Amino acid sequence: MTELLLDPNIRLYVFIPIVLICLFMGLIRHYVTILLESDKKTDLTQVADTNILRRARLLRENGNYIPRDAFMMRRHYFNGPNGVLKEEKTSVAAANPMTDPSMMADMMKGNLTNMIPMVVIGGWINWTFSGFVTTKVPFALTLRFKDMLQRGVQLTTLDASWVSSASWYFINVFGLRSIYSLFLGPDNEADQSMMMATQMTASPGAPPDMKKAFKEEWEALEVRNHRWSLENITDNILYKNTSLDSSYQIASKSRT
Amino acid sequence: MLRGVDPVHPLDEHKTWPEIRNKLRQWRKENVRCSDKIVELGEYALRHYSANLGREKWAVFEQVCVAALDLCPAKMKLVNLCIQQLSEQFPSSLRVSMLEGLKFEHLKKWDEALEMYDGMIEYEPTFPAPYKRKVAIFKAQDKLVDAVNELNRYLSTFSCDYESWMELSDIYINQQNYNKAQFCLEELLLQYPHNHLYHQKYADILFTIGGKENLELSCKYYCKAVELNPNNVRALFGIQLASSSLSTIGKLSSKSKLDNQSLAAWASNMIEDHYKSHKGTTKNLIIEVASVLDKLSIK
Repeated sequence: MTELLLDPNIRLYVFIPIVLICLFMGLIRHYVTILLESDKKTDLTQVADTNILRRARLLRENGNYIPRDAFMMRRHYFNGPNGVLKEEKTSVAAANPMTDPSMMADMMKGNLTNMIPMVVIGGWINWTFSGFVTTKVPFALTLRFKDMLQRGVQLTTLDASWVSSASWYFINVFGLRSIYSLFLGPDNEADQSMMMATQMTASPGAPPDMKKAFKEEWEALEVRNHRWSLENITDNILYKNTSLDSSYQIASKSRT
Repeated sequence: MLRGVDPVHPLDEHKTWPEIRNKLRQWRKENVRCSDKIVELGEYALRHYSANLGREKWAVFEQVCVAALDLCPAKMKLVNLCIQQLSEQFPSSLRVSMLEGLKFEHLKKWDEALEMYDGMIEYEPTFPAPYKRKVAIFKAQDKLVDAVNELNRYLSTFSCDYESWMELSDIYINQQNYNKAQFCLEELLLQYPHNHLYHQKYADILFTIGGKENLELSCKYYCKAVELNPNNVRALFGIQLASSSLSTIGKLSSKSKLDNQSLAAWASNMIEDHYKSHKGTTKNLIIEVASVLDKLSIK
């Protein structure tokens, strides 16, 4: 474990500038994304469908509080032969990004604001600040990481914990997320990790989800049985003297 | 003006700028309808602290405009000023159009208001506010059938709006259409199952419809309301009435008759205890309550 002493100029001219570059790039990305955002037009059928799903979910969750007949009636409304959840949803063919122009534009904007600056700046930093180690990560790394993290430095004996400026840049990209939420509030556009996650799953958008969501909701409602929560409430009060009396006592104590 | 609240001028209480701003924000957040206070404080803030308000100015304009409409026709100039300022800042905005529609409503120009709201619905069908204002207009004109139709059409799309279900149930109760009111209350119960007031109101409706099953159901829902909030005296009265009515119906088994009688007795005791332990009760009131309970219980 060799103790290296780094030139203090590295701290002044490399370490801190990379942090500042990363920070400002994040802020700029946030505002540019907001400016380039296109208007999201929701139409009435989408709103109605969302509400239908919500109502079916509420029926599933809280159905035990309404009488059995009411529950059955509503379940028939949703799941019956002409039920609302069994309606044939016209599957929208615009799920394919290649054919739908607005979705293509959104994807391009996403790429433009997030991926390209990251690659460009990463490359520039690698080119500018190459040839020396910038910092030491506080944990020990294996030799495999040396190749990745010490791009410009060709020393075989150097500890893998000493990393170059490019890896310090990557650490910054992920680490400054919480600082962005400090400046810009949570759920901001500078948060790249969410962007990467959504791009990996490549969800095509709302319409096909509706069909699947309806089917899932239908299945969930089918298997739901109704157990009325008020079945034994009078017995509870009269014979078992459950929480009612004690809560009454608590209430009267708070009043006097 | 709320009963029991002193008509204090808000400007006497809150004189410093942060107090004024915080009070206005609190009223905006809690949607309080103290229109005269809002107008006084808001007008003062807009006149003297316009620079301090910054971007909040527009929210305060909207707040003052709605409050001033409540005090119309005295504050019509203020309303017009607010609408003019807002429409200059936000041209072709839906929220400003809502204010103009409200102005028509207060001037009782129903047709112009309806035309305005219909236009807004056509332009942006997913904005829920104009639908609700149309229902309010029909109610004001006493056209309850139209109000019900409009509300039903609104709820077929926006089926999770608990406020509208509440409104619809109130209109149905007004029209004595208790079965439909029962349906609306069930929707409310699905959304807020732990609200004792909804259980109690549901039990009220069931009790009003009447019949043996409904009486039993209403008794159980009153019990649930009391379980959720032991201080709900209306629900206790409901238990008393429902169970004593049930105990006199001949078709019940003897066990359930006894059950109902003991439930009624228990409820009477609870009510008496409530009145006795309450601070403001006089001796006369206790005697009156006891006599009322005696009359209510069917022996």
